Amino acid sequence: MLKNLSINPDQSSRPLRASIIVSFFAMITLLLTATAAAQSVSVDTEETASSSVADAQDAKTRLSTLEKRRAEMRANLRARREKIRSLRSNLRSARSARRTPAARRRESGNAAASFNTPTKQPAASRAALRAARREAREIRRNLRAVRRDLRTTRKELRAAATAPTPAPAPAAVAPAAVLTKPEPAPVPVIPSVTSLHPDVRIDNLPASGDTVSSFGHTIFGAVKDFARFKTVEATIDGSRTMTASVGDQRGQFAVRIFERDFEGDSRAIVKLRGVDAEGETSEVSTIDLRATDDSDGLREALKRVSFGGSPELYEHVQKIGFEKYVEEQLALEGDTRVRDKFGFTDYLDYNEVWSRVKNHKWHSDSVYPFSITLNNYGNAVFNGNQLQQVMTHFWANHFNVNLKGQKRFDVNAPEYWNGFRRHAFDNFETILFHSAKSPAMMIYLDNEHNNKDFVNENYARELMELHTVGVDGGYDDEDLIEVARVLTGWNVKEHGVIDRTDYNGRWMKIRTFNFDPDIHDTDDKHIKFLNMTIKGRTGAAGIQEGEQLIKTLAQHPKTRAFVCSKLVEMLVSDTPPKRYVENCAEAWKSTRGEIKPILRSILLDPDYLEDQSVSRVKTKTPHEYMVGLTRFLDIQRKENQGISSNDSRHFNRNIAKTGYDMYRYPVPTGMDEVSSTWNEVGSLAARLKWGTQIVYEARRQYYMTSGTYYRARKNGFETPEELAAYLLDIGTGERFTESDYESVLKNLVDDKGRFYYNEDNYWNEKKERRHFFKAMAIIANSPSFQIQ
Amino acid sequence: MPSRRSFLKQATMTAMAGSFAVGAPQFAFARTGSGKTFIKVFMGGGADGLHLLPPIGDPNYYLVRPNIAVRQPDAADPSAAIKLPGHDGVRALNPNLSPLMEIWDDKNLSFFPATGLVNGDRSHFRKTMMTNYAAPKGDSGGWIGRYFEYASSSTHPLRGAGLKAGSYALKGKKRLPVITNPRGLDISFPDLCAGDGCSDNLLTNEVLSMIDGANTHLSAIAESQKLLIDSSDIIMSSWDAHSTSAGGLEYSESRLGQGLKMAASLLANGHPLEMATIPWDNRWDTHKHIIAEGDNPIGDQNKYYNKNLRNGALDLLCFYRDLKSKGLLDNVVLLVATEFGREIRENGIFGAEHGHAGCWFAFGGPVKGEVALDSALPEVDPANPRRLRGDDRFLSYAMDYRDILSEIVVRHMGASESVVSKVFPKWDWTDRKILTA
Repeated sequence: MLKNLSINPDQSSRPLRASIIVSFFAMITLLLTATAAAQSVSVDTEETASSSVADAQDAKTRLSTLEKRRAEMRANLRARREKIRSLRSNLRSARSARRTPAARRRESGNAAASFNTPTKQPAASRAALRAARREAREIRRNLRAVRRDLRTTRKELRAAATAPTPAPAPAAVAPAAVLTKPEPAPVPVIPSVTSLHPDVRIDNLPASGDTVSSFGHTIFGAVKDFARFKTVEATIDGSRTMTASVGDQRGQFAVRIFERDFEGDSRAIVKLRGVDAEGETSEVSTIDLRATDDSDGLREALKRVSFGGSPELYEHVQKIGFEKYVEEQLALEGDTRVRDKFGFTDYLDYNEVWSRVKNHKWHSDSVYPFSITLNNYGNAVFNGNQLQQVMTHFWANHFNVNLKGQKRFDVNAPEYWNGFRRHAFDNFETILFHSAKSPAMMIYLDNEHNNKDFVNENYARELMELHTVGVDGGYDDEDLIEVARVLTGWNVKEHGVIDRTDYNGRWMKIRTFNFDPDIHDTDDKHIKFLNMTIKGRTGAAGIQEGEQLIKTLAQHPKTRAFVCSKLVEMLVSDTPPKRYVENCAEAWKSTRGEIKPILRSILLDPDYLEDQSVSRVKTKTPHEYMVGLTRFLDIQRKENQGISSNDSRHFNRNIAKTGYDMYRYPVPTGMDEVSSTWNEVGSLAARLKWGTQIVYEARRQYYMTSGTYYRARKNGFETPEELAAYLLDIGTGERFTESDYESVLKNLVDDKGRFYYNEDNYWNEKKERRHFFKAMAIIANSPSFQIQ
Repeated sequence: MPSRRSFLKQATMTAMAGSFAVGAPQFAFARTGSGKTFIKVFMGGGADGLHLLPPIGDPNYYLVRPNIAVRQPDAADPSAAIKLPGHDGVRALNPNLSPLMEIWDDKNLSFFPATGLVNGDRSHFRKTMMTNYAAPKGDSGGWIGRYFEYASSSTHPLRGAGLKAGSYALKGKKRLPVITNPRGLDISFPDLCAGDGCSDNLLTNEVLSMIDGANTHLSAIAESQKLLIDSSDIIMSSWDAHSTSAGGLEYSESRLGQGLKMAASLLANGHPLEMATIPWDNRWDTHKHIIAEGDNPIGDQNKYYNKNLRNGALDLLCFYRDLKSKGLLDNVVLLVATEFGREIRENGIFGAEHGHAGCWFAFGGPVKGEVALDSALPEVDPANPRRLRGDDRFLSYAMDYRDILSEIVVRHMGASESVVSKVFPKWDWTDRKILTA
């Protein structure tokens, strides 16, 4: 990737540089390389005017048809889902019937009464189910296509509304009856005044009708006679004037337009001209920019489904669309080449852990938790399956165990995390069972001490309060004791020693989950709030009581509501919008807890990208901040290692200083998903301090280096304005303020105002490096970098 | 031009110098607000009140806790309880809390052996949250947050703070800082500044200018960052200037010790800290092994629980002596709280499950020095002491903790009585007269 984007300053060609800008500022798509060479161009207004009225009517009719079709298809899909559900239940009964000979006899005796389907064999039911699923898939695909059409049509309508046209007569509007919503008052369209002169070339001019983000926009361009004109002057809306420097190799410049320039009319007219030493000016190029609020929800959405975007990721998602990206992530088809290159794996095994950490004898604590931190951090930073990593952290935090002082399960600890990564997109029930049947959880919450004589409520309580129905689940003290009794005998078995000791010479033992019938309470249990009686079972069958209970809890409506609201807290907003939670619970209900449809119901909500009320409302958690910063700096070990175990120890310890301790959080609640918790002074201070530290470790290059630094060099920027806009753009997803920009800009030059770039001279390269990392540290400390 | 920090350092130094000259603290900042301080120390996990302040006079206690009960006072036995003069044969003190005897003897320490939020809840998280919100619904923030909204006019950045850890109680309309490390608030970085000791404050100044330019989306984070920079100078300069004078005792490195030291340094340097919360560990959730193995189950300092209790008591004593020697004791009330006590009977592994009333205690100049409002253990069948059903498993509440807090807000902090209903909504205060003033 780096190679493709590299540029040789000696044979610098304009189209190549422009293509770099396109790659990185992917939202601003159309590039007018050809225009640059052409004579002064002004956008034709009349032609677009007449055609856009007809277009608008046409689009409106199409819109209404499409909306109707969508409604039909939704109904169809619902029916199909209903069918799948009934088929699935048939299949289940068929399967259970096949299990016992008695049932088989019953089945042959009175088949028609038991089943709705003509064939009673599970194979046939399965086939029917498969067929139904196929059909549903087909419908979903069609529905997606319709949604796509709807989007394009809406976009066309918008474009038509902003296109230069005289106010259309009311009669020309499509009949009101066809439209579902009342037509908004026609917006008077103002013709564009964009006109370009070859003296000042613009490299990223938005196409006619395209809008830019109202948060701001950077104009990249070049001055033709850069030997004479050393600065470029920009006048915005005839009032505000600013200057930017012009590069001395190719005449490049960048001018940043800010939020305030779009205030009022969502429009900024920028006049650009070169100014020479005597104050003489070149000819003027005028750009007419139109801004909309919702032009780029993609960058923000990416910050939630990943640990921070990179230029490549923006480009990729821009190309394939967010929906496809989510599907790609759910199918685990993300790019894992970097992860593989650095040797991080999805699933740690004991031997691998051992080979990785055996030489690190200086750790005061166990080597095992420590290797987990390395692998988790490495995956969070380098794994292309970012959503999987986000969900792994979510589940590990939801089913939090504290590794501190728990020497007895540290050898099993990698398996605990492996499970959450393995089942990240599985069924909730599977994930719940993974935690319930893990030695880690049984030891951490004392269920190994839960027996028929002395009931220990600890795990039973948290199973309900934290893992499933939530604290308002409706259970009382008696329910709690009954649930604890159901879980008596769930404990841990020790399997002798494995063939090595840890660095203290301690033999390490593997432990597995175990059910001990001897200490299981075999009486019946009445759980009032679930309205169920669990029949007491003796012997090995006693474990089925707990399994029955956990299966019931996994599908309880309160569990759906509780876990969904936590998910929505993480993926949408600190105050979970009701609609998202309901959609999530609905998807849960209809699929019995499949995580993929649940995530789709949240992430592929039509408003997810565009809803302004949930935009920029979340502070990054310290973990998101640190991993995000690592990705922003593109930190790598020099020896092709990604990060080393020492780095991850360092990073995790620093994250823990903010109070966000993923591996040693003492209480079973796990860390708060509500991001405002992490906006406290002490926590904030710790993250900023260590954020700066990491930037400077990358600068010193003793251990690690910053890929972003080398990439920025290869992009051939000539002026501090270009570099400032570039760095802030990838750091904040183009959501930065004027004061952020000015702070960064000021620190990219020395006290005489000199900007060092692509310096071959040793001393100057040092200066270049110093200014670059100063700017990076300022970005890491800026308010804009702290929020999603 | 001197930097902000060096200016503040100088100001504190002058204050210290002044204190030597005239024998009383001089204030670098004008005190606003009440001039009084309340500190809440929280034992997370539900500390076992019957273990901290064993009801040695109650035979039921020894019936339900055959293994873990604290033995009758005996000067020769390191695991035996310590007599509380004036309460002989009723309640005694856990031997690990013996450092507190000095405060008891000064008549500045009170125990509330059966208090907490009166309801039947036994979940850590809900009870901790509800105790700290002290309101029927958590929406209106925590009670300290409401205190600053309704009862205090102070605008000092450190008028209220979470020291070492945050608390639900601090949540409110006005943001209060949580300071985990007194030096941790300094965001300056040696490689990112110039001049002697980072005197150009480059990073801090850049962050300040970015805060000024923050838009509405960034207001919450910018407000935090501003508070961070404002508090940083104050807390660091007081921390550096503080010298503990506690008769040879020093604050420990634990969160409690460091939190208390932060509070003491702020108060000693004249900063108007009105309310602070400090954690005393999260490890009081003793489902198992509250005692050490062997014949010295409670005195054995190799047992973490015992050591933790002892070290905490020493820190509290250090704080007490420190304030007393600086003449600040009359301005301060410190209350040690927990979310609930534990079941009266022990379970099978030398612990006890979650219970109801717990033992809280307070010290400070205005504290009376008594064991206030005890409640007796439920009757136990001697033939079958473990067969306890329903509420018989728990120590019942003698009073709601909001009575204690209301009295502190009114009588100590000097707020008007009408404010009580705003700080503690839907609460009728019963005056228990626990303070002398």
